[in-house]
Amino acid sequence: MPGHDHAVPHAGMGVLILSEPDRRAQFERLAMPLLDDAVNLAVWLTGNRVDAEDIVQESMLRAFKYLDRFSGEHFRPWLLQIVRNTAMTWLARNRSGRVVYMADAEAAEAVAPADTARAESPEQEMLRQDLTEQINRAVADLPVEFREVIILREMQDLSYKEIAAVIDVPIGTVMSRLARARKILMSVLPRYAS
Amino acid sequence: MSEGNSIGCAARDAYIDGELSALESAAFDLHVEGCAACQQALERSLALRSDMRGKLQRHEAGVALRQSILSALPATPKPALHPMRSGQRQWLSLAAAASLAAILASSTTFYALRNSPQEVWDQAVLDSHLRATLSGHVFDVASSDRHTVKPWFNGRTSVAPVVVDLSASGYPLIGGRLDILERTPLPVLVYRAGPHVISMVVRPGTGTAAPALMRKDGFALLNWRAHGFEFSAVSDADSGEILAFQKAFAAGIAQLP
Repeated sequence: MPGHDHAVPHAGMGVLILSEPDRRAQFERLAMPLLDDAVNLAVWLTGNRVDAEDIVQESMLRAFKYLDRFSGEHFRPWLLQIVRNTAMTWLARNRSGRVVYMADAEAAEAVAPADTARAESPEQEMLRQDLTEQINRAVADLPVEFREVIILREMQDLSYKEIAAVIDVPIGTVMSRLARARKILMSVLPRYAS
Repeated sequence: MSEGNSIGCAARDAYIDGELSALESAAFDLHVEGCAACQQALERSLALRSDMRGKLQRHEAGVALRQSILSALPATPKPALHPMRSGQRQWLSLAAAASLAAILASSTTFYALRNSPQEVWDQAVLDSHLRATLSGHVFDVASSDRHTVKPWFNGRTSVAPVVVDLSASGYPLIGGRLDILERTPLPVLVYRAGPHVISMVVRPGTGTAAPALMRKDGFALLNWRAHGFEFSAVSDADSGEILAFQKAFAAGIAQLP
């Protein structure tokens, strides 16, 4: 009996019974184009590509299994909700949910990248990278409940209503978390301070 | 809400996030004109927002993950019983395109009979954007290099548009196309704003006019005049986004040599 997987939301009341080939075709049409979105969200939530890929793999198979439960119009929030819930379960099991900015992680692994030959002085490069790095770091440093609303709003371009559905809170909570998240970002990034 | 008085500073975030109705949005625009605090806050919020949209690292799925998911799925699809021959399919899509063109053409004509020149123009700009996005033919020349896009229009239209790349502001130039609006071939520059496409029609104009925003059928449309051109930008992005784009564009022009 399907019905006890809490990561998978009921998107509507209708239940669709799909034959196996139909189900697969449906899945390839609806879910596979959203793979990048799923990976992006999972990496931002876990801060770790290896675990993010496991989470996405698990989420996609869940979405396939419970495809019947989706009967609504908006597939993307439904799929992202599964990814988010799976990632949250993973975070609760594994860590605090603090994210390491990927550039740092990659830099720590790579020994002195060989592109120092480019005609750019270290100062120039710092200036250029400054803003991008600062912003990525600031978002990565947000507590996960603020980070997720920022990613869903600014990177996945979801509406308040869709975000509310993905993280399962009232719309008012989405609005106050977004406001709080932006306030934190503006306080740590001096260029946006008043 | 008829006076717009109930919309104040508290609506700022909803405005930025495109969560206000067209009416509320207009009321908020009025409020902002007389509220210095909102003007400042809006500027900072829009800057943060467009920087986040342009600069946050986007992680993508690798080929291995894609393969691994597909191979973990239980069933493989059966081929369709009577696959259409490709010629047949091509004919069908041509027919679909033709009927779409007919619908668009007749609605434009009908529109022209009973609306102001500005409304007719706005509709033509929106139609151009819809034609391009529905057919998937968003640009004739695909390039993020303004030195490729600008000369491409040479000899194809009498308008030599100013072209700036706005990647640094989060709106990369992705190409250009030629479209016929009100019987004149005009350059259309195409930019990307996160997941959205922005089409910007450029035609000769005089004087300067501040950006005027309108929303129509879920699309945001912005008209302004500067540097001897009249610009019309349209997108399904929200109002805040297209206003931020205009700002980045104006700043980009100012920096041209």
